[in-house]
Amino acid sequence: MADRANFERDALVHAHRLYSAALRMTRNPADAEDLVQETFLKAYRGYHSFTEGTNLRAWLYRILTNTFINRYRKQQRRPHEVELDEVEDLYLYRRLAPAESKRVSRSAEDEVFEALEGAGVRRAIDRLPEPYRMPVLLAGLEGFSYKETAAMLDIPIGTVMSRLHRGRKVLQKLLWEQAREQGIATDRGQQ
Amino acid sequence: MMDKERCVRALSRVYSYLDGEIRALRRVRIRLHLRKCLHCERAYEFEQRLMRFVRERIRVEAPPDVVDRIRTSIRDLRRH
Repeated sequence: MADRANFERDALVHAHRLYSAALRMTRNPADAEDLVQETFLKAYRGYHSFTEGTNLRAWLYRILTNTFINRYRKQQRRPHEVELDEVEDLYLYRRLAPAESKRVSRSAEDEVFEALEGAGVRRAIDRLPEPYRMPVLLAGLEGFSYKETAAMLDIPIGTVMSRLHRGRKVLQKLLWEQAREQGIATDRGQQ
Repeated sequence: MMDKERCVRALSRVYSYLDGEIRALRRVRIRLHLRKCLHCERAYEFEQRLMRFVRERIRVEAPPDVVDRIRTSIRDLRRH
Protein backbone atom coordinates (compact mmCIF):
# COMPACT_ATOMS: atom_id res chain seq x y z
CA MET A 1 0.00 0.00 0.00
CA ALA A 2 1.40 3.32 -1.07
CA ASP A 3 1.61 6.35 1.19
CA ARG A 4 -0.10 9.50 -0.09
CA ALA A 5 2.62 11.61 1.48
CA ASN A 6 5.00 10.34 -1.23
CA PHE A 7 2.60 10.86 -4.09
CA GLU A 8 3.88 14.22 -5.19
CA ARG A 9 7.49 13.08 -5.12
CA ASP A 10 6.92 9.74 -6.88
CA ALA A 11 4.10 10.47 -9.31
CA LEU A 12 4.68 14.00 -10.48
CA VAL A 13 7.95 13.11 -12.21
CA HIS A 14 5.78 11.35 -14.79
CA ALA A 15 3.80 14.51 -15.59
CA HIS A 16 5.70 15.36 -18.77
CA ARG A 17 5.42 11.89 -20.28
CA LEU A 18 1.73 11.74 -19.40
CA TYR A 19 1.16 15.16 -20.89
CA SER A 20 2.87 14.10 -24.15
CA ALA A 21 0.64 11.05 -24.37
CA ALA A 22 -2.46 13.07 -23.44
CA LEU A 23 -1.68 15.54 -26.19
CA ARG A 24 -1.60 12.80 -28.78
CA MET A 25 -4.83 11.31 -27.42
CA THR A 26 -6.85 14.54 -27.25
CA ARG A 27 -4.92 16.40 -29.97
CA ASN A 28 -5.25 19.76 -28.29
CA PRO A 29 -3.37 21.37 -25.39
CA ALA A 30 -6.41 22.50 -23.35
CA ASP A 31 -7.97 19.02 -23.28
CA ALA A 32 -4.55 17.46 -22.67
CA GLU A 33 -4.07 19.61 -19.58
CA ASP A 34 -7.56 18.75 -18.27
CA LEU A 35 -6.95 15.07 -18.91
CA VAL A 36 -3.61 15.02 -17.10
CA GLN A 37 -5.00 17.10 -14.24
CA GLU A 38 -7.92 14.73 -13.78
CA THR A 39 -5.60 11.72 -14.04
CA PHE A 40 -3.40 12.98 -11.21
CA LEU A 41 -6.34 13.82 -8.98
CA LYS A 42 -7.86 10.38 -9.50
CA ALA A 43 -4.46 8.79 -8.92
CA TYR A 44 -4.00 10.76 -5.69
CA ARG A 45 -7.40 9.70 -4.39
CA GLY A 46 -6.75 6.07 -5.32
CA TYR A 47 -3.09 5.98 -4.33
CA HIS A 48 -3.76 3.68 -1.39
CA SER A 49 -4.73 0.98 -3.90
CA PHE A 50 -1.39 1.23 -5.71
CA THR A 51 1.03 -1.50 -4.69
CA GLU A 52 4.38 0.05 -3.95
CA GLY A 53 7.23 -1.49 -5.90
CA THR A 54 5.07 -2.21 -8.95
CA ASN A 55 5.14 -0.09 -12.08
CA LEU A 56 3.83 3.36 -11.15
CA ARG A 57 4.10 4.69 -14.70
CA ALA A 58 1.92 1.85 -16.02
CA TRP A 59 -0.57 2.46 -13.22
CA LEU A 60 -0.80 6.17 -14.10
CA TYR A 61 -1.17 5.42 -17.80
CA ARG A 62 -3.99 3.07 -17.03
CA ILE A 63 -5.87 5.87 -15.26
CA LEU A 64 -5.00 8.27 -18.08
CA THR A 65 -6.30 5.88 -20.73
CA ASN A 66 -9.48 5.09 -18.81
CA THR A 67 -10.21 8.74 -18.20
CA PHE A 68 -9.64 9.57 -21.84
CA ILE A 69 -11.90 6.77 -23.07
CA ASN A 70 -14.70 7.58 -20.64
CA ARG A 71 -14.69 11.32 -20.82
CA TYR A 72 -12.97 12.80 -23.82
CA ARG A 73 -13.52 10.25 -26.52
CA LYS A 74 -17.25 10.90 -26.79
CA GLN A 75 -16.79 14.57 -27.52
CA GLN A 76 -13.97 14.16 -30.00
CA ARG A 77 -14.36 15.49 -33.47
CA ARG A 78 -13.73 12.95 -36.13
CA PRO A 79 -10.25 13.26 -37.56
CA HIS A 80 -9.44 13.70 -41.19
CA GLU A 81 -10.69 10.51 -42.79
CA VAL A 82 -7.82 8.25 -43.63
CA GLU A 83 -7.76 5.73 -46.42
CA LEU A 84 -7.85 2.39 -44.69
CA ASP A 85 -7.35 0.25 -47.76
CA GLU A 86 -4.86 -2.52 -47.54
CA VAL A 87 -1.42 -1.11 -46.79
CA GLU A 88 1.61 -3.30 -47.35
CA ASP A 89 4.08 -4.24 -44.63
CA LEU A 90 7.18 -2.05 -44.25
CA TYR A 91 5.38 0.56 -46.30
CA LEU A 92 7.82 3.41 -45.78
CA TYR A 93 10.95 1.32 -46.23
CA ARG A 94 9.62 -0.08 -49.49
CA ARG A 95 8.89 3.42 -50.79
CA LEU A 96 12.59 4.16 -50.41
CA ALA A 97 13.94 1.03 -52.05
CA PRO A 98 14.90 1.80 -55.65
CA ALA A 99 14.01 -1.75 -56.72
CA GLU A 100 12.90 -4.92 -55.03
CA SER A 101 16.38 -6.42 -54.98
CA LYS A 102 18.28 -3.33 -53.86
CA ARG A 103 18.84 -1.98 -50.40
CA VAL A 104 17.78 1.43 -49.25
CA SER A 105 20.63 3.92 -49.28
CA ARG A 106 21.47 5.93 -46.19
CA SER A 107 20.94 9.17 -48.08
CA ALA A 108 17.40 8.23 -49.16
CA GLU A 109 16.67 7.28 -45.56
CA ASP A 110 18.11 10.52 -44.17
CA GLU A 111 16.07 12.52 -46.65
CA VAL A 112 12.82 11.10 -45.27
CA PHE A 113 13.79 11.71 -41.65
CA GLU A 114 14.75 15.28 -42.48
CA ALA A 115 11.44 15.86 -44.23
CA LEU A 116 9.63 14.61 -41.13
CA GLU A 117 11.32 17.06 -38.78
CA GLY A 118 9.04 19.66 -37.26
CA ALA A 119 5.38 18.82 -36.93
CA GLY A 120 5.25 16.04 -39.54
CA VAL A 121 5.33 13.13 -37.11
CA ARG A 122 2.77 14.63 -34.73
CA ARG A 123 0.45 15.45 -37.60
CA ALA A 124 0.66 11.89 -38.91
CA ILE A 125 -0.09 10.38 -35.49
CA ASP A 126 -3.02 12.74 -35.00
CA ARG A 127 -4.53 11.59 -38.28
CA LEU A 128 -4.49 7.94 -37.20
CA PRO A 129 -8.02 6.82 -36.35
CA GLU A 130 -8.33 6.32 -32.62
CA PRO A 131 -8.73 2.53 -32.51
CA TYR A 132 -5.27 2.36 -34.09
CA ARG A 133 -3.76 5.42 -32.47
CA MET A 134 -4.16 4.12 -28.93
CA PRO A 135 -2.30 0.77 -29.36
CA VAL A 136 0.36 2.48 -31.49
CA LEU A 137 0.83 5.09 -28.79
CA LEU A 138 0.86 2.73 -25.80
CA ALA A 139 2.57 -0.39 -27.12
CA GLY A 140 4.47 0.99 -30.10
CA LEU A 141 5.75 4.25 -28.66
CA GLU A 142 5.41 4.26 -24.88
CA GLY A 143 6.88 0.77 -24.71
CA PHE A 144 4.16 -1.01 -22.74
CA SER A 145 3.82 -4.74 -23.33
CA TYR A 146 0.94 -6.05 -25.43
CA LYS A 147 -0.52 -7.47 -22.24
CA GLU A 148 -0.33 -4.15 -20.36
CA THR A 149 -1.81 -2.34 -23.36
CA ALA A 150 -4.69 -4.82 -23.56
CA ALA A 151 -5.45 -4.21 -19.88
CA MET A 152 -5.31 -0.43 -20.30
CA LEU A 153 -7.65 -0.43 -23.28
CA ASP A 154 -9.78 -3.27 -21.95
CA ILE A 155 -9.60 -5.22 -25.20
CA PRO A 156 -8.22 -8.72 -25.91
CA ILE A 157 -4.50 -9.03 -26.54
CA GLY A 158 -5.16 -10.36 -30.05
CA THR A 159 -7.04 -7.15 -30.84
CA VAL A 160 -4.12 -5.08 -29.56
CA MET A 161 -1.79 -7.01 -31.85
CA SER A 162 -3.92 -6.70 -34.97
CA ARG A 163 -4.67 -3.00 -34.43
CA LEU A 164 -1.04 -2.29 -33.65
CA HIS A 165 0.04 -4.07 -36.80
CA ARG A 166 -2.46 -2.25 -38.98
CA GLY A 167 -1.97 1.05 -37.17
CA ARG A 168 1.75 0.99 -37.82
CA LYS A 169 1.26 0.39 -41.51
CA VAL A 170 -1.27 3.21 -41.77
CA LEU A 171 1.05 5.47 -39.77
CA GLN A 172 3.86 4.75 -42.21
CA LYS A 173 1.60 5.68 -45.08
CA LEU A 174 0.68 8.93 -43.34
CA LEU A 175 4.34 9.65 -42.63
CA TRP A 176 5.13 9.11 -46.27
CA GLU A 177 2.39 11.56 -47.23
CA GLN A 178 3.83 14.10 -44.79
CA ALA A 179 7.33 13.61 -46.20
CA ARG A 180 6.03 14.12 -49.72
CA GLU A 181 4.28 17.28 -48.70
CA GLN A 182 7.65 18.52 -47.56
CA GLY A 183 8.91 17.99 -51.08
CA ILE A 184 10.75 14.72 -50.83
CA ALA A 185 11.55 13.25 -54.27
CA THR A 186 8.18 11.90 -55.29
CA ASP A 187 9.30 9.72 -58.14
CA ARG A 188 11.02 7.23 -55.87
CA GLY A 189 7.77 5.71 -54.71
CA GLN A 190 6.60 5.02 -58.22
CA GLN A 191 9.66 3.15 -59.35
CA MET B 1 14.36 -23.60 -46.65
CA MET B 2 15.16 -21.10 -49.35
CA ASP B 3 16.73 -17.86 -48.22
CA LYS B 4 13.86 -15.88 -49.67
CA GLU B 5 11.46 -17.67 -47.33
CA ARG B 6 13.71 -16.90 -44.40
CA CYS B 7 13.63 -13.24 -45.39
CA VAL B 8 9.85 -13.16 -45.65
CA ARG B 9 9.59 -14.78 -42.24
CA ALA B 10 12.17 -12.48 -40.64
CA LEU B 11 10.52 -9.36 -42.06
CA SER B 12 7.08 -10.44 -40.91
CA ARG B 13 8.40 -10.48 -37.34
CA VAL B 14 10.22 -7.18 -37.30
CA TYR B 15 7.81 -5.46 -34.92
CA SER B 16 7.28 -8.27 -32.46
CA TYR B 17 11.08 -8.50 -32.39
CA LEU B 18 11.54 -4.78 -31.77
CA ASP B 19 8.69 -4.76 -29.22
CA GLY B 20 10.40 -7.58 -27.32
CA GLU B 21 7.32 -9.74 -27.77
CA ILE B 22 8.93 -12.78 -29.31
CA ARG B 23 10.12 -16.09 -27.88
CA ALA B 24 13.82 -16.41 -27.12
CA LEU B 25 14.43 -19.13 -29.72
CA ARG B 26 12.85 -17.10 -32.51
CA ARG B 27 14.82 -14.06 -31.43
CA VAL B 28 18.05 -16.00 -31.76
CA ARG B 29 17.03 -17.35 -35.17
CA ILE B 30 16.27 -13.87 -36.41
CA ARG B 31 19.55 -12.54 -35.08
CA LEU B 32 21.44 -15.29 -36.93
CA HIS B 33 19.57 -14.50 -40.12
CA LEU B 34 20.27 -10.78 -39.86
CA ARG B 35 23.95 -11.50 -39.47
CA LYS B 36 23.91 -13.25 -42.84
CA CYS B 37 21.41 -11.13 -44.71
CA LEU B 38 22.32 -7.49 -45.21
CA HIS B 39 19.00 -6.78 -46.88
CA CYS B 40 16.94 -7.79 -43.85
CA GLU B 41 19.43 -6.22 -41.49
CA ARG B 42 18.95 -2.84 -43.22
CA ALA B 43 15.18 -3.19 -43.04
CA TYR B 44 15.39 -3.96 -39.32
CA GLU B 45 17.69 -1.00 -38.75
CA PHE B 46 15.33 1.26 -40.63
CA GLU B 47 12.28 0.20 -38.61
CA GLN B 48 14.20 0.61 -35.37
CA ARG B 49 15.41 4.06 -36.37
CA LEU B 50 11.89 5.06 -37.42
CA MET B 51 10.39 3.90 -34.12
CA ARG B 52 12.99 5.81 -32.12
CA PHE B 53 12.53 8.90 -34.28
CA VAL B 54 8.74 8.94 -33.89
CA ARG B 55 9.05 8.30 -30.15
CA GLU B 56 11.39 11.28 -29.73
CA ARG B 57 9.28 13.60 -31.88
CA ILE B 58 6.07 13.08 -29.93
CA ARG B 59 7.69 13.75 -26.58
CA VAL B 60 7.06 17.29 -25.39
CA GLU B 61 7.62 19.05 -22.11
CA ALA B 62 4.43 20.03 -20.36
CA PRO B 63 4.34 23.81 -19.93
CA PRO B 64 5.64 24.71 -16.42
CA ASP B 65 2.34 26.29 -15.39
CA VAL B 66 0.52 23.05 -16.23
CA VAL B 67 2.69 21.09 -13.81
CA ASP B 68 2.31 23.87 -11.23
CA ARG B 69 -1.47 23.72 -11.48
CA ILE B 70 -1.44 19.95 -11.02
CA ARG B 71 0.79 20.30 -7.94
CA THR B 72 -1.48 22.98 -6.51
CA SER B 73 -4.63 20.94 -6.97
CA ILE B 74 -3.06 17.90 -5.31
CA ARG B 75 -2.05 20.08 -2.34
CA ASP B 76 -5.57 21.50 -2.18
CA LEU B 77 -6.98 18.01 -2.09
CA ARG B 78 -4.58 17.00 0.68
CA ARG B 79 -5.69 19.92 2.86
CA HIS B 80 -9.35 18.92 2.70
